[in-house]
Amino acid sequence: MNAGPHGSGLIAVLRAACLGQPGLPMTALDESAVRWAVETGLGPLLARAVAHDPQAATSPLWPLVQGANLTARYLAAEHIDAMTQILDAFRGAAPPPVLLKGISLCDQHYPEPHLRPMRDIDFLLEAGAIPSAESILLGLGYRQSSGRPAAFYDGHHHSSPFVHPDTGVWVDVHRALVAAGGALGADRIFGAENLETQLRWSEFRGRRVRRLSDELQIVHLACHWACGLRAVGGMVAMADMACLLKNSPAVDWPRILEWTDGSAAARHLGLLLTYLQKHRIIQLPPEILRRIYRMQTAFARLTFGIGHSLLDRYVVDGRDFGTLMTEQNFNRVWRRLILRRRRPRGCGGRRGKEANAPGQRARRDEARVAPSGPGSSW
Amino acid sequence: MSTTGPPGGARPSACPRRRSDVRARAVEGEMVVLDRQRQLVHQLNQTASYVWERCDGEHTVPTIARDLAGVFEVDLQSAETDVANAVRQLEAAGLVEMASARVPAPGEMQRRIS
Repeated sequence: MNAGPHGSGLIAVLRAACLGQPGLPMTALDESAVRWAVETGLGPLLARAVAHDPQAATSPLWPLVQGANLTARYLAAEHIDAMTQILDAFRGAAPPPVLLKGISLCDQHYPEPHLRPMRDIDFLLEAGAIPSAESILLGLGYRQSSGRPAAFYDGHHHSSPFVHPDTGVWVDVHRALVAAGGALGADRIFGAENLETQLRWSEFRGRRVRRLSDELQIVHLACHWACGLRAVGGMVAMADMACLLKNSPAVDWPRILEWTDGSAAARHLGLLLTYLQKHRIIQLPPEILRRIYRMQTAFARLTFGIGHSLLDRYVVDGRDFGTLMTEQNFNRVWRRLILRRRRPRGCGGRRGKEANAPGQRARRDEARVAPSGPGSSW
Repeated sequence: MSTTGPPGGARPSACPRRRSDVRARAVEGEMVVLDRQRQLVHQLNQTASYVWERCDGEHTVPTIARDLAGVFEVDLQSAETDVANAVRQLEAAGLVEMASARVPAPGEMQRRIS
């Protein structure tokens, strides 16, 4: 990684590329910022942001940006073809999958699919449909490959990843949105009941698919980002959120706030949204922002500043880790920040003692046993 | 790919062959070659794309040039120069390897004769 403050440069890239304001001069970013942008997955967005700068192509760093852009175009085309082939093979043999993360967002909310870096294809299926879906994948030439023991995937939210030996495309078949045994596993936001109500019929290259509602997508995105944050690539979810919110002006915020009030997801959502708002990458109505802030515990409010500062330095600015703030310490501090201290109240407005009732605890234990989540067919 | 160096460096009897571990596909009408091992990406122009697709270890450079001259309606000499340049650049980029022209097996020869 690189030293030197160039965070504002990458924030400007996000603003320019995601909000449709291409006009950023290449000189707005110094060399280390350009290199960090490419390393962290923002190369294609940078190419788009400086598209109107006639001097950009004369920069000695232009081949690097152009190479990242070209690679992203190649990989996006490869993933989209793979998804299309899978959907064709599923027709009549498995239900239309629920597209998740990159493969859904790239096609639905980004100005061009390759602007969203993709490492794999994620989709969700009902538990009963997974065996036939997996055998279809094997029939298409995919093979299951993982360095983890098979037992790891028993309680995980997706099965052991599939990879195609020819194309190198990875596929994760999800049985739930989050790991049943994780911090969010017992959260009703991601439970089967809520999920059922938040699926929307859609199309992917003319094929029938399902997607999450914008509201559930926003919460899932924030939680996935917070729980899996790494310095490299941590800005991709920021771009996701910016593109989604720009593309979906009619988000039902009261519904999101109702779901997340008292949930572990509140802090994740709060951290991401307040950070993006602070940098004017998104513009939430002040009342919504106030409510998001009020939803946080006092501890969470206090830690938002620390969280934002970590994001500025190591995720956006790409500063080198040192002897004190090693990468391991960064991960440790971040985990402490996002760790919730209260039990979830659920998304249906259950509160306080009810959430801690023995029945609730039993359901959480069951959730660990049933990998697909509490009481669901997912 | 832009052309550099003197033309006609490739051995006429040699058959260029794509490296087996590099991937290529058309992206928005242009051939893009992804070399994951070297972490490089290459964008090929129309001529280089045509040459690339025939770098199968079976076609010699003169054969490719003759085919190219027919398809693009250019004179054979220009085609030979372009193909030789393209093959040299692909080879320099580590994307193709030169293999000697395959000697037909006795059985194959027999079939051809008969």
